[in-house]
Amino acid sequence: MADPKQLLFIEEEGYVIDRVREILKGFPQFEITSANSGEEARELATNRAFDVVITDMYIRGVSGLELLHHAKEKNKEVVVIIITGADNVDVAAGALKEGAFDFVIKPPSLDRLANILKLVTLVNPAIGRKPSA
Amino acid sequence: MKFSDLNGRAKKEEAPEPRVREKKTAYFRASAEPAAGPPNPLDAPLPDIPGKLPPVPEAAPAAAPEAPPAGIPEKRSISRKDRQRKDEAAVRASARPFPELDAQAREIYSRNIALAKELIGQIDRGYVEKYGSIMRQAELNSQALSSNPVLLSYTRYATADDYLYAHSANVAVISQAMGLALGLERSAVNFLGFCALAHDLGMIDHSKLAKQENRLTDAEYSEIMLHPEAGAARIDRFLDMDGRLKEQAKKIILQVHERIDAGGYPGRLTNEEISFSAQIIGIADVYEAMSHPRSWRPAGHPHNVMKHLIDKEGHGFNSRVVKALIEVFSIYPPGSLVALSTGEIAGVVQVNPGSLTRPVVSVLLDPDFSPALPRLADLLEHPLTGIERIVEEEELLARNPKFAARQELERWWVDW
Repeated sequence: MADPKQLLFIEEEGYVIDRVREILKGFPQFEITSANSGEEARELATNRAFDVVITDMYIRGVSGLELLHHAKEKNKEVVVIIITGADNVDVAAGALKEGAFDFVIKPPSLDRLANILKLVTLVNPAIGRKPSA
Repeated sequence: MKFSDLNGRAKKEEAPEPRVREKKTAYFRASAEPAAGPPNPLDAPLPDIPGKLPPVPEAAPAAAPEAPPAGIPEKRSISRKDRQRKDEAAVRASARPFPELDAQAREIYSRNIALAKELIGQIDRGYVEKYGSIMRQAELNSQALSSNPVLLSYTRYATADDYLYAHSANVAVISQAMGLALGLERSAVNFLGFCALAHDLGMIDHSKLAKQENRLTDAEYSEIMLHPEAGAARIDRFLDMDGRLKEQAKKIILQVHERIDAGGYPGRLTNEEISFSAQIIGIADVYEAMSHPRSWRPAGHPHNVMKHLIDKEGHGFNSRVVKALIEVFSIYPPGSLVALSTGEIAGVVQVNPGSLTRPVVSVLLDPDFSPALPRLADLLEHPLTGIERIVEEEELLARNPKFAARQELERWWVDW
């Protein structure tokens, strides 16, 4: 009955994309839109409202922080999860203070991202309910 | 420091109807539009009331030195940009170090407990002249809650002589924090504090039932269901309270146990019929009750209580109050015992405003549950350390019974 929740996934590295997609299979309540370039990501984040955004901290042509701000403008309650390399943890930590929900370090562990997504569904019950319920 | 400096003189007899005010930083939107369902009376513009509270000076974050680093190993060097962000976050929460915030919070909380004791102890002796002092305390709470996130953490305490003292004080502080999070006007937040402190005055009639160790029978439960009316009736005993305000307070207190799915009592009202203030106090009341021990059951883990209440959204509580509760407490409320990603066991001591998953914690036990070197860690400042899972009482009891006993003792408020 409920509309599927909109999730934007922005990543350009193939192995990360594969792994995150695998994790997302466990969350059928999300309708996933992907972007793998900065241009495309900015376009999507500025024009469409998403419930959840999973983004790399650095995509060619755009930063995760900028995308976070765009996404927040479209939907103040958007949950943004940052994926970052281990050497950029400080920047990701800064994103937490800008309102990101949490971050994961590459390569994202299945458990960690799944746990974060479970918390997301907890704080946003509308996301947690099964689409057909 | 003089706490009386904080003590703004709340003008009595201000009309307290909640009004939404523009809000600065929040995880959740406090917009005027209802999240779902019928329009909320709160959203309608209310007439401006002359003679408001005097403007309250923002508690200036003192230029105090920063707290010493907590010594978590993975802390990285901080770039200039990050330093700036850190400063902003510090100003947002408070630039004062934790011990100073904690000392202030303890003092303010202690006054709330004392006031609750006085009120509950005196209300049946005839008439009381306490509205003024309760509203002054509520103003103090509002000021402290806006500048000192540690005050909220004190609501984890319980009182052993009578649960009702801490329960009333806690529900008042939590309701006020929610009112502020929702962007309500200060006068409305303070009145919410008054109503919350007085919301269970009707339970005085049932103190025996509240102390028994068995679960309530149906007959006893029906008896308890009379307490909202008895509580509302006691509002008439306030000598220093305007008649119009009494009526408002009585209406709110009567509705605290109503639920939007009409599953509450005494009136089985539905969403539109229940005042917004009563809904705020209602969810604060349930959170407080479930996360504190009662004679017939142990306390629930605060994280599990939050989960339960979030799950109830749309059934018992409207989504705006559920979101306000999440915003105030995050999903690991103060008093939560958690396991960190380092394996250590820690207690949540302060919510980081704006962050739902990264509070300030006090590290208590090593990964093997043996005592650790106690230290504070702000998980926003230690990005590589996160909360992995909650630790429930049974696990603690099994792994370190001595520590579990100490934790159990520490939840009881001791007034010196």
